[in-house]
Amino acid sequence: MAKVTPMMEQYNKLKNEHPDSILFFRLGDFYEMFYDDAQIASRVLGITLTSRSKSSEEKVPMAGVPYHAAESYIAKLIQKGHRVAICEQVEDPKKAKGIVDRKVVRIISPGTVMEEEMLQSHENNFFLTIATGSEKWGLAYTDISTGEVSVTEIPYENISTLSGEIGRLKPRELYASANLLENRTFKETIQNQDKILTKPFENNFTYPQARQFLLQEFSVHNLEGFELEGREAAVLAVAHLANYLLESQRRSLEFLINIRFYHLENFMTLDSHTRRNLELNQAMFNKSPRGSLAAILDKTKTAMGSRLIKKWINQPLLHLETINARLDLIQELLENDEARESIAAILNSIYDLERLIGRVCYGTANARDLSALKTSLQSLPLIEKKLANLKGKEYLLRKNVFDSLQDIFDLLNRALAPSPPITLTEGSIIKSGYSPDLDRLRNISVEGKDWIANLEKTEREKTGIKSLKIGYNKVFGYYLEVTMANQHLVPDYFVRKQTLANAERYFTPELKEKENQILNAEENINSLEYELFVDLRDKVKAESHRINSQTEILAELDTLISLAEAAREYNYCRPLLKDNKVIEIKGGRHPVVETTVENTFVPNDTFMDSIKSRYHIITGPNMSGKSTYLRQVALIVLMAQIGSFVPAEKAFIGIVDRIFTRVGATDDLTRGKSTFLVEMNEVAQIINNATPRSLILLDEVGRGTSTYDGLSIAWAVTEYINNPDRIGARTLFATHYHELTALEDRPGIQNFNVLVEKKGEEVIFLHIIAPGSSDESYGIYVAGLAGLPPEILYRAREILNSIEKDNKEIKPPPRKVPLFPDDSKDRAEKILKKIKVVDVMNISPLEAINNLYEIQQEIKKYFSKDGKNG
Amino acid sequence: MGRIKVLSPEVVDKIAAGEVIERPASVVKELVENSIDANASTIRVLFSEGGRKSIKVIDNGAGMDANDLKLSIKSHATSKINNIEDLLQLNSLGFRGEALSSIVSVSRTKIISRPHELDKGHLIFIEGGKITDFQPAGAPPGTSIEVNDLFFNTPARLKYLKDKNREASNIIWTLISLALASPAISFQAKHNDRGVLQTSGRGDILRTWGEIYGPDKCMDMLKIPGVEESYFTISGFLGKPNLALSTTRGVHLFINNRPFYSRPILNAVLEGCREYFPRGKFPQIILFIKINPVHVDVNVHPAKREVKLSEQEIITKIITEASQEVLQKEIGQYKPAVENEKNGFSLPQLLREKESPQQGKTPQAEKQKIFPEAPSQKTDFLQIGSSFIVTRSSQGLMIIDQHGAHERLNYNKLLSQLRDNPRDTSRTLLTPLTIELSPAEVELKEEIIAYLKKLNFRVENFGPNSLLLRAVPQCVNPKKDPLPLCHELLQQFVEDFGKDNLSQIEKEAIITIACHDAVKAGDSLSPEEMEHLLSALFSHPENTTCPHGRPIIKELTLKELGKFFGRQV
Repeated sequence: MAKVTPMMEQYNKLKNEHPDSILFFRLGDFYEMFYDDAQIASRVLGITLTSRSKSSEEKVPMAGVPYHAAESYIAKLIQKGHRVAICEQVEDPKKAKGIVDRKVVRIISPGTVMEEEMLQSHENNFFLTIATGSEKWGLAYTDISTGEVSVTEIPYENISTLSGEIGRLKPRELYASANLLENRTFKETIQNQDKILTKPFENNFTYPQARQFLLQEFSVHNLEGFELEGREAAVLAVAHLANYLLESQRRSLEFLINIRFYHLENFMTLDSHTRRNLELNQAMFNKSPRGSLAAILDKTKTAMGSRLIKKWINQPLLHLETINARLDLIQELLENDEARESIAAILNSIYDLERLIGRVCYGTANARDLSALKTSLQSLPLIEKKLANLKGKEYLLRKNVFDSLQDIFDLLNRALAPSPPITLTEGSIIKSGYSPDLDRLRNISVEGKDWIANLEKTEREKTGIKSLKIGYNKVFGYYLEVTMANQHLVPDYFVRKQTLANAERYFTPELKEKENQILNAEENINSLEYELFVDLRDKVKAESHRINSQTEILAELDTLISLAEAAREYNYCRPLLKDNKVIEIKGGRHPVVETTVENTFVPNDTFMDSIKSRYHIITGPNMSGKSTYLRQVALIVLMAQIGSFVPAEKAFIGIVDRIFTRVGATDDLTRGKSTFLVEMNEVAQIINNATPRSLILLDEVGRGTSTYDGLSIAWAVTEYINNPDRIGARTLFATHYHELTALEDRPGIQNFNVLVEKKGEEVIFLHIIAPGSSDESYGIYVAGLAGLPPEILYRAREILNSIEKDNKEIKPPPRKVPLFPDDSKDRAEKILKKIKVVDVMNISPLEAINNLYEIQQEIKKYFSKDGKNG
Repeated sequence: MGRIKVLSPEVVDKIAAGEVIERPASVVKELVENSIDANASTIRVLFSEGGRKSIKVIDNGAGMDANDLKLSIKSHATSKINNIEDLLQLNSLGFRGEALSSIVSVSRTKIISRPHELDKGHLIFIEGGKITDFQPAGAPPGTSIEVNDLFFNTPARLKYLKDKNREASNIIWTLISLALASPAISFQAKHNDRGVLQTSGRGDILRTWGEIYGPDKCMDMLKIPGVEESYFTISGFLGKPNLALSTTRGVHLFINNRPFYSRPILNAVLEGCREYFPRGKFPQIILFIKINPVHVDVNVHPAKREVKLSEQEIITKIITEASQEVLQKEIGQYKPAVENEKNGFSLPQLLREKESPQQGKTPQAEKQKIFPEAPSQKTDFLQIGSSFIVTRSSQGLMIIDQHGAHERLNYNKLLSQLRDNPRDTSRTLLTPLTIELSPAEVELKEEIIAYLKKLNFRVENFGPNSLLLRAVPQCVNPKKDPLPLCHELLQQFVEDFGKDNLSQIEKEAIITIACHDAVKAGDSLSPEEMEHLLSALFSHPENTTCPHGRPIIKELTLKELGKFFGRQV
């Protein structure tokens, strides 16, 4: 092996500790990367790939970026999903013996980003950990820039809930056990999400180890305060999360300000399909936030409010009291124009306190950050005053009293100079009057300079050289300048410093001493200011929890005002929510679509209950507004359960626990699945998870296969879902199979159709959903709209006519067998067969475990106490 | 012969249109009045380019079926009256049946309408008065009318339109009147997609007013005690003097919920407020007169802007008394009007951008075009509050702001010095002084040295973050410490640096120097100093404002004083 320099040896050692990160190796004013890292960096960052070949024959690939511009390069790498390990020189190069000591001070990864430039101000950036307990998964996620940590547990059966949470959080990174990450089902689950960087657990904690670790790290005697006591899976998740953060951030975990346990049963369940189909956060066709529900409702004035409202939109509530408390506040804010407008104006001047405090606790806050904090705190007393008059203030202050934090403002106001610079080591940060030591040093500097300025006059008098001048020069410092003509008048105590063409420059011992005093003082000023700043920052850090509780109040206030303003601008009404199974909407509109078509959006009424009008079959041509109608019903329910006003004249909403959507035909050919298979998967998921309190949207079930197959499946699915002994959930089913309209004789099923107006050959869509079934599909007409030539349309009509003439009406076979035979014997046989065919000798342990898991699931499902679904 | 022909209906329409439809605001008024008459509870008005490009009025009113829709655009077709007797009992705003036909004859218009009780709506396109399309359409209940390319076929009319901001402003004022007249209707208006008006239509007139002018101002609106006579009632709100405007635009009059204009009624209001509002300031008022329709003649003006009341005198008298009473109760016995510039009320937020901001100039300063005559004889000077000098003038009384006056003089001197002797007008300091620089100033040290040199300050580098000040301009007061002035100049420079306007920066610097050096409000002056200042001031008649644009002299003529005290002089 060729000889390696000590520095490369150091590099290799460090690199081995961080094989999965790009190592930024500090060399003087640059961060250098070597070998593969250099190749990657060169490609991604567009920097030159050079080489280093000092003492070996091999050329070592090398690429580097300047230290002061590193952030934008790091940002690019992070954006591409890489991890970056920053390795700094930790001792003064001048004092080092041999090679300078180096250490990795931080690992930046996509899920653990603090820097403003790498973050979206209005979005969270989550790092998610999933741990496997004995019967539950533990989920712990954090956004370290705001310091929030949330934890929950999900029972193993609810894999769709797990996938739903992952879909909600859209984490940039996922940290979980190697087993879980390898699991086929799990992999499929996260495949649908946007690119997530995964990492297997480095240390595998056991429950007692995990618990002990947390007690230690957070200096507590028990985990009651975090509501984690006794929660095995949750504790494991948090412990792994904390452990990873310790390793990567290389500092104490004080930057985790808030650890909260949340119960998923408190929120409406939405899977990621539904979030996407309802366009809650992004428009479907271009993934842009414009055209989403969030874009419509988000009129917040602060970044924290913007992040909170997105959380609210993605976690609708189930608890009537809380929903009504929100609605009450929105109503009050709607009616009290003065309060709403004045509070909104004040909120405009408040910075992103969450991330500011995050940086304070992380240790990277600079003087500008503290200045922004100061400005924000200044407005708090005004808000307190306005809040005092609001009836709804009790709800806002349910967790914490309003604290105007004026003592902190005072401190910052006394300590910080106005408009401080970004750098911390060049002074001008601290106001005068805050630190007597600092003031003294500053005085020395100022007085010293004054003395020097005065020296001109005094020396002129002493020496009689009338043209004597005092001056300063970067290289030589302060000097007394005497022209050549006056050299003979120069006294002994003048020491020559510099010779010019027509003058000489001197200093005196006094001058030198003063100059040194000033230099000393100025050096000390800079370091003292730095110390004072750090001390100030620490003082603020000590109050971080206090500040954090207030930012929660402000964020909520901002969110509620935003919802009030949306209600005002778009003319929403207050929904009435009850704990029943009715949905009644008068003049309902789609909140997003109605803003894009201005005045031509046609409102529609909806009535659903669990007895006579449970399952709506909606027929009618495509492009006539069926899909929009389906979505608007779901969105109105969802908005009501967020606690927002809704786009309708009136709305009575019976609480929905889950919304399912099977909408759109996205071919998963790239993943080796056909449209039909995907569709059936989604339907299966709905069947397995829906409850009587759920709302189901089905937009075309039974496509992608032969007409008769599709129709039969759609029929059977309809009967099944409609049956209160099986599911009995409120359902809107838009379909092109108008044979299904024959099902109207079943209790609970009702037909609806989209009204059209025929004008000769032309068909005009009225966009009104009315009871009754439509007689035609108008498929050929819509094909014509799409651009098929008249020749094809004409021929198609001919064929259609002849088929319709020949075909008799499809009648469902009368039920000969009992409605739902006891098929448990069949099932048991099926399962036994499954076990029998396993090729034990040739499968991997992992596959064996997977199989066992699936069999267990089936048994649980079909052989639970009363044979019904959970 | 045979030279006289009956005009075709289209031409008749266009001529008639000229009477009613003058500008986009007229279109908006007519369409919105139609929506109100259709019992809409929500009216949205979306317009672009001041209404010249497009105007859309969308309501959720009764809507029209196919037949009604076709007829609506015909002349003299209306649902609102059937015969002349109906005119006497007029409760609706529109009645002539002309507006829509006029509008469609001079534009490209699309109307979509659907009555509530039907599922089907209809759509009609009219271009220059001719129907180009008519068919069923899906539509929400109500009517939406989109008027595009107004006056595309009458270029003469098009030329008379003002720029888009002016037209937009007119539309907004029209809407404000209509929104106030119908507090139970929710109005929303947008210009070029930007929201300009939003009322919630809860039926509360004061709240609606607050939504337009600012909810925080509502508490300064006083309720006018309702007056009820046999055939009319009067009610409304009158704003306190601190809400005063400098035009009469804030006077909103309504007869039977129709906005209208009447010189006599306006005067009646002003008369009642005269004592409480300074000259040139007008009150904000919303006044509702409900009167039996037989007493109102609306057919007076084509645009129904003016109406005639049959019992005008009685009504005006009552209005004057009512306004006076309200103010008296609130403000108490007569107090001299306070010209409170700081609480000067400004126009609704929506329109503020439209009025071009004048840098630092106030209306008062502009009004003073002539310099009051200098005192003819040697007179006494009186210094009030160590800030103002009072003296006689030929016309009466003169009050001078000492700081502003001195500032102006300094500024003029500096400017002329710089113009005439660009170099060598600095005065060397006995002892040089050190200037400590902030980090931002350190960054621009070279530029600062050059900049100060231009202003006749001489500075040198004196340390990593210090400068040595050796000389200041001649005009800087030798008795005063020049350092605060220097710091202010540096701050200004850093702030404005990079804004590309060096001459502007220099100009501001000169103003700063002039200001710093002038006597301040609060400095006591000796009679000699006052005389010196005033004679310098009066020798230049153009000196009426300080460099910041504030007035420096206020004259009270004997005539004004007389009027004040109610005396003829």
